[in-house]
Formats: sequence, C-alpha cells, structure tokens
Amino acid sequence: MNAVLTIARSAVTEHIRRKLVLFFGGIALLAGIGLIYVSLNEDLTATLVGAAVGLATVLSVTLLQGMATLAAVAVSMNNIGRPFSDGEAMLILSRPVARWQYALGRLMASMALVVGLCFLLAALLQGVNLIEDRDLGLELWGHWGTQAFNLILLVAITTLMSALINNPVLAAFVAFFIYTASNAVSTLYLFVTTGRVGGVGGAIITTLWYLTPKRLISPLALEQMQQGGNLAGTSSMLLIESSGARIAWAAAYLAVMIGLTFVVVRRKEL
Amino acid sequence: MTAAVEVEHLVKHYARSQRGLNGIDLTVGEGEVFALLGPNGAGKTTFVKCLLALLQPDSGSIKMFGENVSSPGARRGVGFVPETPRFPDFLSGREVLKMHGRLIGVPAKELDPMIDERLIAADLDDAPKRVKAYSKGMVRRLAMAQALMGDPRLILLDEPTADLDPIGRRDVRNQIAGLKERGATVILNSHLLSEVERLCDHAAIVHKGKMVAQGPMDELVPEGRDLESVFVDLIEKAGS
Repeated sequence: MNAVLTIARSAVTEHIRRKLVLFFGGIALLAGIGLIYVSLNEDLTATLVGAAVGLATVLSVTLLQGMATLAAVAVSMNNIGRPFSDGEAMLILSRPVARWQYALGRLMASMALVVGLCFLLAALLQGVNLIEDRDLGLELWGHWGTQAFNLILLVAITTLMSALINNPVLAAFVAFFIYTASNAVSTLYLFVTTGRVGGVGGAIITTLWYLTPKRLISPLALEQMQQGGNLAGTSSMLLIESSGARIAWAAAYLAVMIGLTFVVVRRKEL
Repeated sequence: MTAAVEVEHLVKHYARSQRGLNGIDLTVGEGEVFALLGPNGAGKTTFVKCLLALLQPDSGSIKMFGENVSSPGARRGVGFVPETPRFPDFLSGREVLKMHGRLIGVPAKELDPMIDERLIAADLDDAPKRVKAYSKGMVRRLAMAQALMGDPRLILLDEPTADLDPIGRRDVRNQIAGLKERGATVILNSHLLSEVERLCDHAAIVHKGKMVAQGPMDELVPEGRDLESVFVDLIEKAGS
C-alpha cells in the first residue's frame, strides 16, 4: 500500500503543479462569487431559473456538473499513456512496484481530486441554498455524492483509455464519448424493451447497453426530471431510479474498468 | 560465487523490428563489474529492460539473486540508470529522491539524511527547484543519485556517462569504483570501451541479439591488445 500511496501523492502533486487543480478550483470560486451575487438578488434568480426551482438545484444538474465532468477527464487523460510513452514510468517500475500498484496509485489520485471537487461544489451550492433560504440539505449532498461516484466511473474509463491510446486528447475524447453515450444508449434500449425495435438492430442496441456504463441518478435530479423541470441535457427517458440493481451494475462496471486497466498496464511495454 | 543475475536462453522479438534478443545465456556473479557491449541496436537496452521486467521476454528465464524477475520483489535492492532518464518534471530533485526512497521502503527518519547525502554527492544540492529546469547532465546525475538510494546490491547502468562532461564522467567512474569496493554488482552498458576496460572485470559482447563472446576481461583482451580492437574484430567476424 505504501507504493500505491507514494505514486498517488506524486500524481496529486503533478495535478496541483500543472495548475489543473488551480484552474478548476478557480472556476468554482468565481462561480461561487457569481452565485452568491445572483442568489442575493431574488428578482434576478426568479428571472434566470424560476423561483420554484432554485439556483442551487439548476446548477447542480447542469453547468457545474458539466465542469466537474471536464475536470474528471482532465485529471485522468494522462494517467497511463504519457508516462509510459515518454519513459517517466520506467524508473518507478524499475523499483519493487507492481504494474497494478502504479495504475492504482494514478487512479486514486484522480479519484481523490474529483471527489474533492464534488465536495467543494456541494459546499458552494449549500451556501447558495442557505442564502436563498431553501431546504435541499441532504438531497443536495446526496446529489453530489452520486455525481462523485459517476465521475469516479469516468476517471476509470479515461484511465483505461489512456492505457489503450497513447494520445491523451484522443483517449479523453473516446472516454467522454463512452461516458456520455450511455444516456443515448439507455434511451435506445427503452425502444428495445418496449418492443418498438427488434431483430439485428435490437441485438446491437442490447449489446451496446451492456457495454456502456450505467451512471447513477440522484434523487434530486430524478425529482427535477419528474417535475418536468426544463433542465438542459436531460431526457424523460432517463427516469430510471438508482435502484439496488443499477447501483450494483454501476459498481461492477467500475470494478471491470479498473480490472481491465490493470490487465492493459501489465501487458504494456516500456 | 553467488549469481546476482542468471539468464537462460532469453528470447525477445519486436513486432515491427529486426532487433531483439536471440537466445542469450549469461551469468553475472555477485560483486562483479560486468560490461555489456555491442554496436547500436545489438540488444543491450532490450536486455536490461528484460532484467527489470519493463519488457516481457518471449521465452527464457531471468533471475536476480535467485528470484524470478516477474516478481516485483526481485527488484528490491536494484538501482537503474536508463539511457535517457525521465523524471516527473514538476518535482524537485529532492522530491524525486524522496519518492524513490519511499518506493524502496527507506525508513522515514533515514530518508532526509540519505537524500542530503545523495544530492551533495551528485552536486545537485544547489540545483533549480524543478527537474524541468535541469540540464541534461543534471538529469543524468539525478538519475545516478536515485539509482544509489538505499545502497542497492545490483546497479544497472545504461550509458551512464552519456551527456556528461569530463568531470561528470570522472565522477561516475569514481562512483562505480566505490560500488565495486563495497561489493555491489554493476552491469554497465557503454560505448566508451577505454572506460569499460579500466572499470570492468567481466564483459559480454552481443551482436544482432546474439552473444558473440563473454568472459573475464583479462581473458577477452589478450596481452598487447586493447578492448576496442578485440571488439571491432569480434563484431566484424560475427557480422560477416
């Protein structure tokens, strides 16, 4: 475990000094200032998002969620490909360090940063909540906890892609596509389960459904969707609660992504 | 004498290249300073990478101090200086050494004094804060310093004097002599045959992935000849 933590610590230092943490932290801070200004002005809040919905709710499920998604990709796109292709991993792996320990250390660093960002954003929106005198409380924290899990999944997918594809931009693009495609595939899968699509097309969609990640949906997001809140980027087709089976599926998918990363990194030559 | 490295019929081919290793058998005794020689593309670096499990051999067996190298534990007590060392450029030299010290399990209270000692020995105690500001020679000296963390039993040096000025080269020679004195095993890849002849007690010459000659230096180089002329003769003969 010592080796894993040492590698994770070094990777966190990398992200801090490459100013990635500063960049996303800075955006969160600027967003915070803007949000406090808007939330203090009731008329402006009502005009922008509608008083019934509330600023914290809307931002939780749209803008800040998008930013957190970008941050997750940014902190994991260089996890494996770059250090292997430029030889940086060589000296570390010449030590008594197993390949899986190296990969796990890099993964843990990215996951810790993403969870930290989600916590920061939740705290920020909790502050907005308090100013707006709304009562989202645990629901808001539950939402960001769910987002943290989803983003950990995205980190795992991006890390696997960075192990498979040496070009970090391409790896990030592919990972982002797989992650976001899950919504579209879920929508298509509903056509299969309701019998509107069958045959070869149905088989392909079913296969894709099994291959794409199952993101969790928080009670807050679900509630907003059920109320028909016009939240950008959401679809009524996504009204699938985070049931136990879905949570188990998502966790298993995460475990498979991490396991596949270990296998690819083990076979990767330096 | 115990074997520090035992290699049996090592074969490694690359998918898109003629280069590789074609059945290398080699034993390096503990405490030997061993030179691995060969022209460019002979397979020397491939050999060293296979020793460290950075490359997976197609067949054959490699043991270090009796342990199969596929186990990370076999690399305990091994230091490595690659031909082109790369460090995380956002770390300082001190942080690089601290990371390597932790990876090899140096106790926390011994780490800082050990790092100070290594930085002074490598003349890097006044170096710029981040590795990205280091010159090639400084990176090379840092690579040597990290390889020597924890007083390894076996040190693999791949062209350790490349990019170094004459003073840097002399320092590396002195370090290798110091390692020999304390009984460490050194495997050295170098094109500087005069240095090799002076430092090493055993040598192996590889060409196109095959072993051409190996043995104690005084048997490989007959009286009245030098290593360079022997090397050129052997390579020309093997190439024809």
